[in-house]
Amino acid sequence: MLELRSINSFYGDVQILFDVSLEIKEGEIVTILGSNGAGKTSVIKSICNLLPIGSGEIYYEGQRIDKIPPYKLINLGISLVPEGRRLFPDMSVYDNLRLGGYPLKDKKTLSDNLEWVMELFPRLKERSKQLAGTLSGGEQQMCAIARGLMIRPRMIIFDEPSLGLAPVIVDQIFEILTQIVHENHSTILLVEQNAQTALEISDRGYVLENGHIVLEGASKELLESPEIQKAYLGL
Amino acid sequence: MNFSYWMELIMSGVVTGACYALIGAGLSLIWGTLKMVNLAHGEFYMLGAYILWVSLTVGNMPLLIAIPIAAVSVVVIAALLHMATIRPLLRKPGWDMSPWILTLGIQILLQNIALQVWGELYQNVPYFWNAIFKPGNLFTISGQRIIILFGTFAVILLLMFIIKKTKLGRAIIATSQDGEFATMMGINTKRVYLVTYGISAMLAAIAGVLMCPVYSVNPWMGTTVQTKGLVVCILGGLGSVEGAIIAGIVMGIVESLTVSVVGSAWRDVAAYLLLIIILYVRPEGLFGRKREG
Amino acid sequence: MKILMKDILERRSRIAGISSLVFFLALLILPFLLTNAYYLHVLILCMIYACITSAWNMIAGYAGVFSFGFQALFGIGAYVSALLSMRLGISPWISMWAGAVAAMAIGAVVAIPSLKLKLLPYICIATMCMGEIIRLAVANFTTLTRGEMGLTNIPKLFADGNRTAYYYLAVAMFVLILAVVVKIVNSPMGMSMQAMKDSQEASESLGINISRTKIRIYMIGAFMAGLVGAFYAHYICILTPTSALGSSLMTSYVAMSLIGGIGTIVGPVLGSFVITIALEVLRALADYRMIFYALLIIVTIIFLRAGIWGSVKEIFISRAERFKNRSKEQG
Repeated sequence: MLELRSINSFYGDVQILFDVSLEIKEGEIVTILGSNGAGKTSVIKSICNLLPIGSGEIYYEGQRIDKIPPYKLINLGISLVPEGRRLFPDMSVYDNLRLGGYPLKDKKTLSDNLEWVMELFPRLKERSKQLAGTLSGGEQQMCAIARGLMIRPRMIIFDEPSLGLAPVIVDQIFEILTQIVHENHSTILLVEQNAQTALEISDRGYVLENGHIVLEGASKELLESPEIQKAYLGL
Repeated sequence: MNFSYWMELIMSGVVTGACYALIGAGLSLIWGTLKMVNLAHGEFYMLGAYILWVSLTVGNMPLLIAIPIAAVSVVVIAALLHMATIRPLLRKPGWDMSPWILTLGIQILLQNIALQVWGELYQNVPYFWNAIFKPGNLFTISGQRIIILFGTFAVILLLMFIIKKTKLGRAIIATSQDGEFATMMGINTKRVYLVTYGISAMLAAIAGVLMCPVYSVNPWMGTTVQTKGLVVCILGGLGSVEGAIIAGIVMGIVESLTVSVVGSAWRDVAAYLLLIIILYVRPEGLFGRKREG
Repeated sequence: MKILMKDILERRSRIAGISSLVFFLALLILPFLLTNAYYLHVLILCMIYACITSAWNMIAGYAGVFSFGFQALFGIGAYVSALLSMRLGISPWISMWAGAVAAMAIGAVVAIPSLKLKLLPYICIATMCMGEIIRLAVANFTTLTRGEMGLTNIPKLFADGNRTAYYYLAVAMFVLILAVVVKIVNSPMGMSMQAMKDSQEASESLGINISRTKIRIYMIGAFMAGLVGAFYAHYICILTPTSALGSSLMTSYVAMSLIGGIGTIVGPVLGSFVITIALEVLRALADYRMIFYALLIIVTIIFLRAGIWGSVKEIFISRAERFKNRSKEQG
């Protein structure tokens, strides 16, 4: 569904991604693991064309997307739940969600989808009038996910959804993620530092180090790989 | 020094303040989305007034056609300038400083083009409405001032409606809070930048159109008004449109009181002192939030 | 290969040393080559602008404190020195220093409240307003300053108005101010200034007292501006609030700094010479002069974002980088 072919990306003169290739098939959950500064967020920014790539090609459903302006990606059914949530703090939860459905032309679809995400996250329904900036960390993450679901995306990219959250809430959020996939047959690209949980719910994984893909394989194999256990699982 | 004297003073302050509010609201809107200070803003005010004057005198057009022509032409000029000069620099390294000098350049350019085209003579535009009112025999107010008040009020109401209630408004707010991420929600931020710049230019042009019968039309008329607009925009808390509007009216009243107490030579000093005193007490402005941006 | 890189850097500083020496020698010899007094006048103006733009750039480009009211300090130096020499009969050679000290004092008054502000536009607009207040005050206190009528017949520094003498005095002032700027930029205080610009929080945690450093630098810059202003007053001998305190002066400083290259030593000097001379050459265009000036500013900022010198530097550095990389590969 999504394919990156030999991506090289730069910040100014500094190269941060080296020859990165990866593939995500329809209906899969794929994890990208890596420590801080390994280039995980740069992969996402490259896919979204927020960081134009230096060389390489990116295909989505057979269509080349690395030259498409970022604001058009959502029309292809790609949705991003960014690192650090990035809600619009001065807007209500309701307005944040509505903004998630910005590209929807049809009012009926918008209200249907609003109802759907509110059902997924009943907490948000209770707080829909509250300003997004006043929510707790877990609620903010829920709001960000719900906002990302507003267009009923076929492909969702999650950047560090567990960052800064209590373990209980992380489990809840991952549970909801798997539920979404089963209900909607969405494809998920998950970028995480929390290797254990991420690999448990995903089908396959890639390991990124200093801008290079150093390891890839089925999640089960990765969980058992001694290198992963040593570097990411603290075993 | 009786009641009607003070009433007239305050009314004249509110009228000038309305003009500052329109300029300040536009500057604040531009700061909100583009994160730049537009030092060519007073020139849109000046161009609005000039185009109105030309349409009325040379074109012999009726007022109700001349006003939209002035507003629309200024928007077109602003949009072209935006695409030619601001867009290539937008968000590039040095963006914190480059717009200052760029828009200063545009300011000098537009002022001198106006000087070449229309000359340095001060031109006058007749009052739109030549009536004088004495509500309850308490004070007098001219028809022009009533038009300014209602015109400004209507424009601000429309602006607020656009920002708060429309999809475009939501796109503007989203862009101003998090421009990069707004694109990921399907918002074409480049277009939002262009549209907010155009809307702000139109606000300035309308201010110029409304005020020019009271003052006169000349190539330098925008400079002081722009400085006042900047002051108002900081007083109101940079990026807050409502704040700029309230601060504009307050400053108009303070100025007109200064004129009557100390004399008209100190009018601008009072306005600038007001800013400095308020910033000394509240560094984030009257309505600004702490640690923003 | 490491030696080669070091070689380049050493050669760079040697090139800088030699070329500035050549530049100053040229300034010293020029009066013998230029017989036309008008050319000397233009060069004096260039140096006046170069001094004050370098001072502004030291504050803005290195410390990151953008003052948009700097022209007022120039004007204060000019007015204080002119008034002292005119009303009290003090020798202009002494009143000049009084003008500089007055500018420094006002600079402190301006700096203390505005440096409390964190957001760049707040600082710019607050200082812009203070500059305007000073201009309006000078224009309004007509009994002392004669307002827009202006001060005329200000005492000259050299009895016969000898232009060559003024020229050499300007060169001396220019060299002195530039030397001080270079010295400050390369001093520990200058280093902390650059740290301050890069990250306020980081330098706060390093224990650098930000406001005190900023105020000190602002006052030094203000002293320079005042001194240059006083020199200008006793050179031109006519002062009006618009010519000595107007905001178009500020526009020039900013334009010169940015077009030359902000945050560099050479940039503001280059910008001052280029723009002052360009404005004189453009006199041939008569009415269209300011339009071309504006276009020059706009085009430069769009196509040379780092200014003339900044762009030259960027090219040089990226060449050196490439060279370094190549030598790394070979080594």
